[in-house]
Amino acid sequence: MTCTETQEKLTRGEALDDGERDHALSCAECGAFAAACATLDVALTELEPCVPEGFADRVMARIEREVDGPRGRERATPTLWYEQRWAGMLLASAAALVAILNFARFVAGVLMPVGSVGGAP
Amino acid sequence: MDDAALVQSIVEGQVEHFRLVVLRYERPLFRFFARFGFAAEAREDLAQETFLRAFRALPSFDAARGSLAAWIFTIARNLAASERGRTRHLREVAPSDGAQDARSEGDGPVELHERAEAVARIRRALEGLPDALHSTFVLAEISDLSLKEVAAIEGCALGTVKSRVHRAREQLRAALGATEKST
Ligand SMILES: [Zn+2]
Repeated sequence: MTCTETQEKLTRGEALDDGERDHALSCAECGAFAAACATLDVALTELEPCVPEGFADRVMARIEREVDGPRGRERATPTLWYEQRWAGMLLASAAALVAILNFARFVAGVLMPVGSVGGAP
Repeated sequence: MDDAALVQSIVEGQVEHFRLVVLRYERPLFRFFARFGFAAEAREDLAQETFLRAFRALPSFDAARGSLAAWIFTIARNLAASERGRTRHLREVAPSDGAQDARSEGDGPVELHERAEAVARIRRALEGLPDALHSTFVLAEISDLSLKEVAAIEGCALGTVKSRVHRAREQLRAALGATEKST
């Protein structure tokens, strides 16, 4: 192997095989290069931020607000008066009353004697 | 639960299962935004926005076309790129931010200062990379992604990813070496 091959492997962060490791330990240039790469790796791991406490809770709270949003608005919107249960019952009762009155008018007009309700003599 | 099953259950209404997605990807996402040079507050905003966008677009996720990790990092990369472009003129490395990243228990003031210096140095070196190298290198350094996935996200060939990572590491190493020699 050559210095270039060893240094390329080190640059890519790949593990060296036995021969390359022996070379890196005996060659001053590759040894210095390996040390520089290790310094870079250490510096990169220093750049490890911790996840702030409660992060997942904050994300989930935003998501739940978003999911609940439209449903929450549906719940908050008052339904139209004629869609309410009491209005339906009231309208049904009114229709039944009109039907009963019409039936009574029919009975009075057709079945009862004309004179008895004040017709002409 | 694999990615496809997890996504399926969320789309079918098990919204709480999205927490598993958050817990699975929060750490690599924060690392990703840190390596892009974003400060702590910006990282939280960007990570939240990534998850929110991922949640909204979840019905369009197709496991046959790529992993959930690659899909999430595509969103994160686009967000990072637009934010980086938007704040390019404002950007400056705050020394306190480096100190915050490098802090760990048991550090004395000298160690803390040295570590903060190292973080600030690497951050400056990262900032100095050209956009394409920076983005590819940061994605490749995230352990959740294979180089193939990075290539898919970047829309380039696998060989391009390898050569970009190589060039980025070379430039970073050179930049760190130069700073170390000059100090
Ligand atoms: Zn050599």
